[in-house]
This record gives sequence, structure tokens and C-alpha cells, in this order.
Amino acid sequence: MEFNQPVKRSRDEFEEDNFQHPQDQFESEEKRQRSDPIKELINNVCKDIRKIGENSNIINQIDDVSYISNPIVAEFEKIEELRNSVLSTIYAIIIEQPQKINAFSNLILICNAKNFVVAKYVIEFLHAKAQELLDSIRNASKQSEDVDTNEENAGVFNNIKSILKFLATLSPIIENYSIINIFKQFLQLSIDLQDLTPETRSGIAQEIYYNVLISIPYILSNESENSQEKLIALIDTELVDLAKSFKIVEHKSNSLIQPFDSKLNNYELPYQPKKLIELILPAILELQAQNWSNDLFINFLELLDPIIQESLSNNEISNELIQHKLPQFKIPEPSILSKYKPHGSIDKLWYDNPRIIFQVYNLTTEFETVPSIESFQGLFFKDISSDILTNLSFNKNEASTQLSILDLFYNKNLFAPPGSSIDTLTEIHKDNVSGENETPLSTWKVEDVAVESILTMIFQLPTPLHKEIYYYTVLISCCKENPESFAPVFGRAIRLFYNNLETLDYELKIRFMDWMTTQISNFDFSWKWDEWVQDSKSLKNVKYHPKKNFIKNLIAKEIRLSNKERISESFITMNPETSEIENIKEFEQYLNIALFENESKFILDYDTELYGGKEEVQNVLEDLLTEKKQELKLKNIVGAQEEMFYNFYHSDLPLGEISQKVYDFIMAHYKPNNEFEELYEEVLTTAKESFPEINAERFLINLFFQTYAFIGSRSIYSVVSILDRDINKLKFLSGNYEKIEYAKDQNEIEFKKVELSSEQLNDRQNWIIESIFRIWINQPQVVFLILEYLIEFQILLPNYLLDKCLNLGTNLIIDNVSCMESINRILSSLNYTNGDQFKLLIVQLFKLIVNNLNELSKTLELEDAQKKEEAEEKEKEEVSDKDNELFTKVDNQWLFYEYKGLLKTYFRKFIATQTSTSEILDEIKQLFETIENVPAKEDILTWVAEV
Amino acid sequence: MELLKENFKNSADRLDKPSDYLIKKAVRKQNFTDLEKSLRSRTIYVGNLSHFTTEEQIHELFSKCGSIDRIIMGLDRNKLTPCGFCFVIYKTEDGSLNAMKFLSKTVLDGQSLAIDLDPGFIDGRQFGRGMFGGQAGQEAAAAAENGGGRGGFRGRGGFRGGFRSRGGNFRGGRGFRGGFRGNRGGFRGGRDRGETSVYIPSADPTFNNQNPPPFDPMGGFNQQF
Repeated sequence: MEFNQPVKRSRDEFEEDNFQHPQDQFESEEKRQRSDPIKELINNVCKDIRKIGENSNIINQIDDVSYISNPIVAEFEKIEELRNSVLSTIYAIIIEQPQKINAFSNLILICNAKNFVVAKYVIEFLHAKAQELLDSIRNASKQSEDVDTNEENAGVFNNIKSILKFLATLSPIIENYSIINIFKQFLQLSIDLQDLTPETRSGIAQEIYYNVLISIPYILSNESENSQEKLIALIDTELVDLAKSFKIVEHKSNSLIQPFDSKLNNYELPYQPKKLIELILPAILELQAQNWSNDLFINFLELLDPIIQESLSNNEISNELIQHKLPQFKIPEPSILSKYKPHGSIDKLWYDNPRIIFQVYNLTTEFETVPSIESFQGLFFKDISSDILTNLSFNKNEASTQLSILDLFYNKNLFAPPGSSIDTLTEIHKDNVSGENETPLSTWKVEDVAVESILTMIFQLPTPLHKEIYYYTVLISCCKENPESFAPVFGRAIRLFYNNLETLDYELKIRFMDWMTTQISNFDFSWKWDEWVQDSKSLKNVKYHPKKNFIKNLIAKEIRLSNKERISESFITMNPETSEIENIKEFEQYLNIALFENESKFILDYDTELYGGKEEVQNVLEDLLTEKKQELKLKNIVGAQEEMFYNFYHSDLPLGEISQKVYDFIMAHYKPNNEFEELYEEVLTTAKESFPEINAERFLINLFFQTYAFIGSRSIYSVVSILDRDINKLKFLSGNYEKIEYAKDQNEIEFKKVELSSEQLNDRQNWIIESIFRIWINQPQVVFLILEYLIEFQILLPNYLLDKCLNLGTNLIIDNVSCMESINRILSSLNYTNGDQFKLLIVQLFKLIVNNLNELSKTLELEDAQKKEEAEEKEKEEVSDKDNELFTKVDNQWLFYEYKGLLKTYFRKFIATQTSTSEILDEIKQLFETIENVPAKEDILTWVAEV
Repeated sequence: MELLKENFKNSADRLDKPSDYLIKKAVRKQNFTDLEKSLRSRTIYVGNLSHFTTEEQIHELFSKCGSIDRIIMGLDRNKLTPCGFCFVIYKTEDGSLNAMKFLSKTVLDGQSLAIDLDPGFIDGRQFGRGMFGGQAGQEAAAAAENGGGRGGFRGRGGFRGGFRSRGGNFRGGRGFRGGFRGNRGGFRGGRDRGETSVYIPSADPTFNNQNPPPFDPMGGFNQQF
């Protein structure tokens, strides 16, 4: 045994290499409490326990564990506070850091030899904890809903799984092979529970079944070869044979949670996703076929046994190894369980949907960089890392560290050395194949396992278990600690998703974009942009192709986190021949993030029309615009505020004088409503009398709303505070009188009621949106934030914004990710505050999408995928009218797919995962029946069937 | 103090607790009200911002942790320009705890962010408390870098109080957005957003012309993908 020269790095070495000091907080706490020796002892013991397993030198590790056991053994019975703290820490580690379970069991085995009472306490404590969890089910079914929806809770059965794993490692000190009975008890429960509903999938039954099977190998992990035989026989007959009788019942389809979508079979998927439940038994049978010879866990026995023997011989009470009782659990009856609705996040995942496996690696390499999902190891690491990520969310740095050193807790040869490059692994693989390596060496990469597990959580459907930003920042920590090892791993993941953007689920595309932006914003926005130049060029003539759309919106999102200059500077590449850094011009075009194309023309047309379309006004406006552009050209950095084109008070323009009055009015402090009303009348009368060509009401709305936006343009919250000040005035303008709430205690003067026809109301609402679009055309994000506040303040009604964003002329919701994010925020917030309005909006949203699908399908024959490919290849030089027709068609086809993807996203988000909307399911189904394109309709109706 | 006691309920430190700075301050003053408040607060303090970082950028990043009610930029007391810190007020306390857990040390505009729970924003706190109007900590760090002693930066209080009248000087002219003093706070369910000017523009004409800090986008990093 070569224990002396560890290849792996211990946690301390890992942190030393990577300048991180997460222990700092602990140290300072320690100092504060140093006055009390008992507290100090407890702190030291618990801190040491937390680190068990993090030492790569197995000999030292076992020595350390034996050393740590001494104060525990000595004081455990005497100091209650120490006992409670140690037990509490043990439980926390088992649940939050299950990768340490094996290393951790050594402590209990050693304690047991020195003072069996400690082990007895631990086993009884964990047994009680598990029983407590089980009892909570009975209680939950009695109480009403919403008992414990804390997102840090992974769920009763997921926690019990980790307890079972740990108890299984203690099998040598448990009487009568009771551990087998406990496993069998749960296994039988899962079978009975599923049999109760032979036609319907029981998610809880599947979870229990999976959890028991994935934990079986732990039973043998601390057993010597002699004692293994009997246990193996029991496992074979009592567990594995029984497991074969579990019936896997599944829904007919589960397209709502599929990460990829073949776009009505027009595209090939990167892989066919498999389900956890279908893989676990075959994986266990495979282990059984190898007589459970397990290369997974570190074999501590050789080092552990001498210590245990020595401790026993020094033990004054008993020289015999004491074994403890492990009684069976009081398990809730299947009939109660079948009604149980779990609250914990992982339990809920099982309960709601089949668990589909998300894959990132092993898809493009000739060899495995992560264990195959069809092997036990593959499932095992997915399980462990998902538990770590779910339960350690209160400390992203710890989660990242533990995932980065995951290999440390398992057999030395299981993974290739940390940080091995793909080139190195390719060499290893070559030597494995050629027989150069006598025993094949592992090509598994711990970084790939870590990153794949985090990406799995980000791309979890229907919803991630934690806020996505948590997972992003875990990845960022991984990368910061160890950029050389992690950056290429990200690179491969980004490439995989980018290359499959055509089939990636719509919502996942948005998450991918969000992740990538956050990721690279933490690393100077570095990306190998040169890889995407060709795509950008060949897609120059289409707008809605997913790759083109992705590049455009990714860059827009980057700009939102930074600024155009900085992002522009990141478009560089290294010339491989000269090693010089070169700029990539191709992406400069995307720095223009304006809401509409040709924004200057848009502004000019819009303003000219607003002023009644007269040529002399157009000339004035044109001059002003040219002047503005000249002015901006002279600056090297142009702020968002400076880009605004606002001229109402210009004396050469119609109504300049009254516009100046409006400007001054809003600019000043709060003024009473009657003064506002007078001004309002004055604008209308002046416009009507002096400029009959101008639509006075439209002008009025634009004048006021653009002026508010302009005066508040310093920042979002300046505009918000000024809008907030004048909410009632704005409601008066927007026609939403009913919502005006006068401050009675301040004797606020009431507005005269102006009767608006519904047409007038529609116009005013639409003009408000248009005016914000116009004034902030260069900053779409600001546009939508302002509109959101107008909705929150009940000045603007959300249905008008929906109409605008889903307009088939502009398709803003697809074209601009700011728009979709904004709509999502509006819907989510209404979902909480105003359920009825929310349902109306959802139905409206679905109607609009269905309508767009029908309009688009009129323009395409979906079959001609080949023509579409041709079109994508065309370069601009050879564009003829016929080509243009083709491009439009390609764009329409992608729009069709994207609207369908959007429909799925919203159906999943607001209908499938929400009970509150079940009453509108029928209405929505009827709506889906009106989809004219038959293949699309059939596909969409399967979603309804899945709910 | 119950809330400072380690309860060993977790296997590692929680990141959503007040920083050592807040704890030390509470222990020194033997006053734990602020500390308790900060644990239930919707407000976080964000430090180590670049002076060029805008509210919109902050919104973009911090809205990933929850819906934001408003952002209050920290301003140099004298120049009234952003001076490297801000307060983010979320609509719910989850937002601030999430930000505390997830966004500490995240990079925004090339700066690694420092985040702390905050007992709640009080008008006036948006101004830097350093001797020269900026953030005390940053001024001290800058001085230390220039070989200056730290002693001189202790005289806080003396400069406070003056900013209110000074703020008034910047009102009125076109382009300045001083004091939208909406006294309408009460009627919107107690969310008195409009009680103070949320953002006072730069009175320093050179502010917009300064170039952002130097930037080395390659840094050798992207060759590694």
C-alpha cells in the first residue's frame, strides 16, 4: 500500500494553492469565546469534526481521527453541551456533506472501541432523527399545507437516505445485521406504495426505492472480507431479489421537462435523456455480478483495525467489540404516504416528475471524463453532488470547495489527477486502448463531475431548487480558486449548449445566457469570440435564428452588467501565427442594443408623425438629430442619459412654449392636482387650436410621459421617485381613474372626472408604452423597468404591454431578452398579489401566442428544412429578391419554433407547476385545440395531458 | 447574545449572518438592536464598488437575488458623486439574505463586492463619512497607500449635518434632479419611497469625462477555454 505519498491534495493544500480563507470567520469567533474553556473545547472538537476526510494522507487522517476521538470519548457523557453540539454537527455533516460519510464513520468506530456509549448515543440519536422525520409525515397529513417550505430543506426522504448511508457504514457495530432489516423495511414500503396505485406513478415510492438501492454498497464499506460473506448473502436475498419486484410506472410522456426539443423532429437531439429510476436496478445488478467488489470507497480497514484492537485492549469496561441495537422504524402506512405531499426540494422533485438525467460531458469525447450514467458510480456521484449543492446553499464557498475536492473522499485511482487536461486524458486513453497501461487508468475528471452537477442544477426543469444565482456563484468560486483546471471545463460546456441551441429548451436557453453572462462577467468578459464569427456572418440576413439571437442578447446582457466600451474591448483574439492580439470586428454590430433597428430613422419617423407629419417640422427634427449625433461623436464615452433625444421644449418646434411649461411643472416640487389639470387642459386646447394636424391627445401623453422619463433619466430610481410623487396625476392622464386614491388626510384636491371611451383608454395606454419605447429607445432594459413601475403604480394596465410585446411585427418578447425577463417579473409578481388579474393575463398571453403561431404557420411549409439550410449559408453579396423571400421564411420558421418554445415555458411555469391555475386548464386546452398546424397542435396537447 | 452563539446546526459557517464589522460594533457599544434588525432587514450594504458603476448595473446583478424595491447610491458628501458604496433595498428579506449568501465577492465592473446586512436605510446615510466626503474606509486605504497615517481620519462627526443645506444649492437648474419631495408617502401601504431625493446628480463637471479604470481583457484567461 502506498499510503505515504498521496497524489491528491488535501483541503489545506487546496486552499493554500488558491488563496482562499473560508475559515477566517470561525477563527474570530473562537477568539471571542476563548474565555470559556468548555466552549473552546466544543468549538475545537466540532471544527475538527467538520474537517474529517479532508486530509489526503490516509495514515495521518486516521491518526487525526483517533486523536479527535479522545476528548469526545472523555467528555461526551459528562458535558451535555459538548454532547449536543457534537451530535448536532454529526447530523449536519451527514445531511450537508454526505461525501464525508465514509471517512466520518471511522470516528464512530474508534469511539466505540474506546467508549461504546458514544457510539450508542450516536446511533440512537440518528435513529430518533429518522423517526422524527417519518413522524412529520403523519403530522403533515393532519395539518394543512405549507408546513415547512424552507428551500434549505431537501425533504424527509432525501435526509433519511443520508442517515441510512451513515448507519450502513456502522454495520460492524450494529447487532444482528439489523441494518439489512432497516433497508428491507424501506424497500418493501416503496414496493407497497407503488402497488397501491398500479396505474399511476408514485414519485415518493420511486424516491424511496432509488434511495435504498443507491445506499446498499455502504453496508459493505467497513466490513472485513470475512464478515462480508454473510452480509453479501443477505443483501442478495433480502434486498436485491426483493428490489426486482418493484414496478416502474411512468407517465406516457414527459415532454414538459425535456431539456431538448427536436422541433417537431426536424433536429437531432444531443442525447436521449434517461431516467434515474430505470438505471438504478441494472447498475446494482452489475455490482452484484462483480460480487460487490467495490472500487469506490477508500479502504480504511487496514489502518483502522490496529487502532480499534489497541483501544479495545486498553478499554477498562469491555475488551470485546460492543454492538448496538438498531430497531426497525415506525413507518407510516402506504395509504397515508400515498396522500403525502412533500415539501423538501429533492423530495418534491421526485414527487412532481420523473427524474430525467441531464448530461454535459461524455457526449463529445471518445472516452469517459465522468463516470457513465449507466454505472453505479455515475449515479452515485450525481446523487452525492446534488445533495451537497442542495444542502450547502448557505455557504457557496464551502459547496464549491467540497465539489472541487470530491475525489479526495473516494478511492485514489477512481479519478485522474486533479486538473488533468483533455490532452492528457486523451493520452491516457490511448495507452489504455493500446495496452501500454497494464491496468487501465481512469480518465474521469473531478472538475467535470463538479461542473456537470452544478449545471444539472441550473438546468433543472421545471424549476431549479435554489435561485440560479447560487449555482452561478458556486461555479464562479470553483473557477476563481482554480482557473486553469476549471476554465476549459466551462469552455466545453458552453460549446455543447451553444452547438445545440437549435434544440435546447426555450427557457433553458435563457438560463444558459444568464449563466454565461454572469460567469464571464466575473472573468473580464473573456470568451473565445472567434469561434462564433462564422455563425454570425452566415446568419447575417436572418434575425430569429437561435444562434444569432443568442449572440445578440448575450452581448446586450453583458453590456447591462458593464458598458459598451469594455465589452467592445473583449472582442479580441490571438492570431496563432503572430501571437498578436487582434480585434474581432464582427461583433461590433451587436453593441447597438437599441430596441428597434435603424433607431435614428425610427426616432425621426416617430417624432415627425407626432408633430402631424409636416415637412418643415421634419426638417427641424432632422437638423436637431444631426446636431445631436455630431455632439455625441466628439465624446469618447457616451452615457445613456446623453444619448437621449428629447426636444419638446425646443423653440423651433410646435408647442415648444407649452412644453417648456410642462417641463418646469414636473421639474418643480410637488404641485396640487388642480394646477396639473389646468396645465393638461392648456396643452390640449393649445394643440387643438393652433396645430390641427397634431393628434392633441397623443401629443399630450407623449409630452408628459417622455418628460417624466427625461427628468428622471439620471437613474431608474430617480424616475421611480418622481413617478411615485405624481402617481395620481399619472393615473388621471392614463385614464385609470378608478385606481386613484386621494390622500384625504392631506386634503388632496380631486380631479374632475373625464369620461373616456374605451377606444380613448386603449389609445392612451398604448401611447404611454410607445412614449417610453421612444424616449429610451437606446436602453431597452430601462424601457421595461420604467414600464414595470408604471404597472406596479397602476398607471399602466399590464394587458396593453403584453399586446405590444407579442406583436408579430416586432416580436419583442423573442427578439429582446430584456422584454421577456420583464414580462416574467410582471407575471410572477401579479401571481402573488392579484390571482384573478393574473389568470386573465395568462389566458391573454396564451391567446396571443396561439394567434401568432397560426399567423406564422400560414407563411411556411414546415418541411423545407433543406431550403432553410441553404438560406443560412447565403452571404449577403449574393442576395436577390428571391433570397430575401427565403430569409423571411427562415425567420418565420424560427419564430414559429420560438413562440412554441415560449408557450411551453409559460405553460410549464404557470400552469403545470401551479395548482392555483388548474381551473383555467380547460379553457387553455380549448385554446390549444384552435392551433392550425397539426403536428404542433398534437405536440402541444401532450403537455396538457401531462398535467 | 443568543444570535451570536454558534449552534452547530450546520456543517460550515453560514454566510447570511452579519459581518464581523457589525458584530464588533455591537459588542463595543453593547447595543444589539441594530444587529437584530439587520437579520430581518430588507436592506443590504454593498461596498467596494467602482465609482463608475451605475444603479442599472447594480440592479442587473442584485435583482437575481430577489425583487428590488430601490437602490440608494452612496455619494461623496462634497462632490455628490458616487463614492463606492450603495444600499440595495429588496421587497422581501429573502432578497437580502440571498444577496448576502450568493453575491459576496462577486465581481462587478472589475471590483470584488463586499456585502453586509444592514439594519435599514436612514436618510443621510447615503453620504460618505470620510474626511474628504468619500467613504471613510476608502479614503483611509488611499491615504495608507500614499504613506499617510491613519490617525487623521477619525474626526467623523464634524462634517456631518452640513449636507442638507448644501444639497439645496444644486436644485433648480435644468439637468439637476434635486429633491422630488413627494409628501405622499403614507397612502401606499407605508412604502414611503418618495420621502427623499434618491439620487443627486454629480456637481462635478469633470465626472463624466473621466475614463474608467484600465482594463486588461485578455489577462491570459480566455486562452484556457
